[in-house]
Amino acid sequence: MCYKMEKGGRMSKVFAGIVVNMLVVISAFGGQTQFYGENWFRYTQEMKEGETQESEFKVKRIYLRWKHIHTDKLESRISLEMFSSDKSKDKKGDPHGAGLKIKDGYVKFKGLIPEGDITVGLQKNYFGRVYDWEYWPIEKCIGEKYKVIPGSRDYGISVGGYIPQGYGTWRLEAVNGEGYKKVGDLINTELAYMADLRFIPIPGFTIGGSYVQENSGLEEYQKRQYYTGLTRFAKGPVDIWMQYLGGQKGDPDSPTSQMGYMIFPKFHLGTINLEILARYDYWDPDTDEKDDGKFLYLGGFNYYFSRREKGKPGVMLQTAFVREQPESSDSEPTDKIMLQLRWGWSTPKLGEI
Amino acid sequence: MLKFKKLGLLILIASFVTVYSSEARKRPNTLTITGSTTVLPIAQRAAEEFMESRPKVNISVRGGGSGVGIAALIDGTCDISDASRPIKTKEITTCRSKGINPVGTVIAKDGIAIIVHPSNSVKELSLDQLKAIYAGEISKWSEVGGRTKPIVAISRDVASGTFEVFKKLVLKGDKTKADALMLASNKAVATAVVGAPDAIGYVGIGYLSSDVKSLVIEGVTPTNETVVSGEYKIARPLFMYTDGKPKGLAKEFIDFILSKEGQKIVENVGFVPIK
Repeated sequence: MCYKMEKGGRMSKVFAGIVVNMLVVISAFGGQTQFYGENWFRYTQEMKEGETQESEFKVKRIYLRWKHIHTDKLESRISLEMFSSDKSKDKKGDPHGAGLKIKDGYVKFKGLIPEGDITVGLQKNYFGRVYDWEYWPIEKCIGEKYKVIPGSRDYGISVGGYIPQGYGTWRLEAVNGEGYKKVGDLINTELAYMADLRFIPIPGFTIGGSYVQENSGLEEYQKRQYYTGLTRFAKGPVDIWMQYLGGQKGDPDSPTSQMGYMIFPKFHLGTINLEILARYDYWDPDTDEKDDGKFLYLGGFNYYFSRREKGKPGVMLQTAFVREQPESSDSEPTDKIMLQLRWGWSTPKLGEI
Repeated sequence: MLKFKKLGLLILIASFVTVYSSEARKRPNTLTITGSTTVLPIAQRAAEEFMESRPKVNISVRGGGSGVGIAALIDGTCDISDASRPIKTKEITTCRSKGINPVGTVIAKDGIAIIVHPSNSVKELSLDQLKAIYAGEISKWSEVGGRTKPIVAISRDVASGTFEVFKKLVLKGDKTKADALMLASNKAVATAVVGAPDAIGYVGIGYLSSDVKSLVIEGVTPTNETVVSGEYKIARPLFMYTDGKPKGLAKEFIDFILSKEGQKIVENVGFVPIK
């Protein structure tokens, strides 16, 4: 569901009002409610061929979330996403300067399967790192950045849980396949099916993979069939992710094959609350075409002014230098410097003593 | 391009060196303990006595809740995580994915005694009767063999660990009846029961006194012995979690709590020693 300001600023206000009032009423009827908020304030400078393409401050994201624990076996969550945007305009053509979306809204039924749940509603896309990507290097993860998955959330049903003794996680999901931002004219009549497995054979070592398949009569969503494999090594201050992504999309008779990979090491200096990050991506949008790929190099650091714990705010400065280098030797790289102040807060979860 | 790659490689190597030299700077004589507010008094008192006999050691103890403690263990911001419940599968999974192997050591037990006014003729209840009283299905003492008076149910507030245990072990996840009196401490519950002849309440076993009468539950009297043996059902273990088996200063501290001296501290702050 996506209500932008161009559909009427009044509409957004009415809608936000209804949501807020509904949640206040829900909170008054027992159970436990936890509120959560996060704000990303970002400066971006983008350069190409010596020319400045972008140099601006913006409120990239504000998230407001209400989580309500109705009983031990039933909980629900609603998250609103707000952002600066001059793309939506009023009737006079002036930009509103903001947008509002529902990021997620679901009910989680626990206890129906051992150590697992059934989740119904607008929820995470369980493919690769899309569902647990926390934007530590500011940039989106490989699956989302290159539009393999149309968004971090989608409408659908999923079932999944934990492998006993902490040996990993699993999830199966059926969603619309268009992402949470898509509620427009083209209605895809075919569902997308996803499966995800993470296995942790020994502490600190994770291997896993995901698969997504979708067929559709619509030109925009004719076919999508992707798989990804990932490995993580984490011990002490070191945390390294590696991911391979491949698949096909387009006309089923002559699909376009794509592939890419990402290496993402992160080092945490616990004594001074600093993380040093690096990332290296390669993405080939058509494996039959030569020199159409793209490399991404990222280096940066995150500094925690304060860490967020349950019931306490957290403030973090993120920095990143990003170079996107086309594979073709004729093309010039694009360089980006991003600085982001990110802060969040949450109310304590009752009974967590 | 080549220059950029060399620079990147240099940054990576420098990062590794910086990280490991910074990790090596961690002082061996410091211990950080975070977690359950139920376990907090044990950890605090034990830390005070432990530091008295080892002047070079510095132990920092803070609460926040079991979940906060386990999160701190995962983040590497504490050495020992206190917990008044066993670690959840979700938490074990997060720990393992981040290279942490959570190992819990039981350092004490927490028994919850059901108390009434000494003048109350009721001596014994079953768990089902107790649940029915707190759920509002039994409202008079005569329904459980007592006088014809309405029962005044006194509970701990929902933020307390004692309430969590009572909810799990007695109410089996059901809600407490709406007119139950919710009080903020064990002492407040005991005081309220002393002043109300028709009241029923529950407190940690260390808060029992001659001013109140503790009830026999399912045929078992709440004592340190019946809690440790597992015969008395309204009880829970208290844990200290470490990354792997306790070692170094963390092991010394946990061994101290498990010693005769440490278990005396456990008893003095109102919990049940396990040794």
